[in-house]
Amino acid sequence: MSIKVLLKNHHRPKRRLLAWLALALLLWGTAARAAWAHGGGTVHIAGEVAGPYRVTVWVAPNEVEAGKKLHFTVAVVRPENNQPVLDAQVMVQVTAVGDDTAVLSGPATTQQAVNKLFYEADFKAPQNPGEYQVQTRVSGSEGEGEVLFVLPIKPASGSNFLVIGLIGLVVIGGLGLLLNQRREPGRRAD
Amino acid sequence: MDPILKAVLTSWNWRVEIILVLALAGTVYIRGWRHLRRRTRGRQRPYRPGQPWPLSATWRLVSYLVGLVFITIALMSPIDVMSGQLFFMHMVQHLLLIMIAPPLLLIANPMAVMLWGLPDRLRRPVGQGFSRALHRDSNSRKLLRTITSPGVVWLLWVIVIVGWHDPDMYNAALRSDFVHDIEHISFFLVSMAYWWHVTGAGPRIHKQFGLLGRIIFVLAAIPPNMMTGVVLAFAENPIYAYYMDIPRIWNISVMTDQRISGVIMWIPGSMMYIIAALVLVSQLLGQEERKPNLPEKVWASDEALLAPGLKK
Repeated sequence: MSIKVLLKNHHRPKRRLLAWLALALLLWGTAARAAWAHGGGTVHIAGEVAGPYRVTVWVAPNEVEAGKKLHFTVAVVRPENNQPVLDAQVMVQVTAVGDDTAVLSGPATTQQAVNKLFYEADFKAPQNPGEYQVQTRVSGSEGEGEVLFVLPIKPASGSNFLVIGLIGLVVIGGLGLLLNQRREPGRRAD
Repeated sequence: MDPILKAVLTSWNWRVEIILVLALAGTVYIRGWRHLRRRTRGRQRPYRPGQPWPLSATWRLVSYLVGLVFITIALMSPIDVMSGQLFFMHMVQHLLLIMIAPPLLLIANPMAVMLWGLPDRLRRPVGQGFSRALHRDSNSRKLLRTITSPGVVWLLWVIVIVGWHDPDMYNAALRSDFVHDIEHISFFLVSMAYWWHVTGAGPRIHKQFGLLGRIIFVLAAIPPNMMTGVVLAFAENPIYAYYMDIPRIWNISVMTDQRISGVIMWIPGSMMYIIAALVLVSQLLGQEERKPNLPEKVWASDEALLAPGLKK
């Protein structure tokens, strides 16, 4: 049965509820990826020379925690006119300081980016806290270059109490509403 | 098409939480509007000047939906995405959230219509909850009346609008999505409270402002808004360090960007309040027009013709 038919069926509230939930999940599925790849964060490299380009790199969140999300945004511009370069290949590699073995490595692309003038990449931060070196390599029709910076990764903090609190409030509110509705027929009978 | 322009135009930030909230708000309003429309079908009196418009008037639905479209544009379109790179885009985003979307939503009188849009099972408990919370003697109504009284709302509005333009606050909002969302929510909520008094939308828990009072209230928003815009437009150095590290586009320097933003806040920003005041002035004049004529003996006496307005 299609979602449209389910939504039209006024006599089956449970099915309608399920259909709305399915629709919400569908929306979530299509939009979550974009929301995850939102830019922002702290600038670690601001307009440094990388071969024939100038590169800016920022990392979100502002304080990266072990095992949690790690988002890189890279801007590549031509130094002579400061115009964005949109057809370069950008590679991000994370290694532990003093160890050349890559812990994380992957391309940053404009397809993954919300702002299509930038290159973005998402990773899960390394499990071990400490200092890591981030290498951003840019190659394009005019040549190639790289920039390096050190990224501190903090130990993972506990649970997000704000989110838990909000979910708790919603659940309590929903339960309250449900109980109120169940009590309603009895009250009418009085 | 220029590749940079193409990249800008394709930069949309689809956020599921915003889509769901807007879709829900739109669906509930449309349901309520259709419900009221059905109830009043064939019984609607033609509109007469001076009489309130019915809740199911078509323009209310259009206004509400256009308000939601402006919120969508402000929070998910390239205006939002580029606001991290161009200050003037950020300013346009704020104008949409503060001056355009709230009055469009509120003149649609959303609360009453949305109550009718709730499913039957929910309408009763929600309606009862509202009537309990907003009952004349309830403490919650007294609290809400106090914290949303015109003076408090004006003060909060000034604190929020000027406060978020403090360099530390603004840079924090640009560096953290969470703080940025808080900034937008506070702009929107305080503006909804501001326009609530101007539009007279329900629930009406305050003493109803007269038209003259509303005009003064609207105009009171201009000085703080204008002063912030002037400071930005005439500053000699970049105020927000965040934009100095971000690559520029279209050869717009940080200082030019800042000046454009200041001018946007100063002139179009103030214009919105002036337009609202003009609409209220036209209503005030219409009200005068509808007053019954003075009897001839009052205005046609020799004294009144020689010196109108001078009482004996």
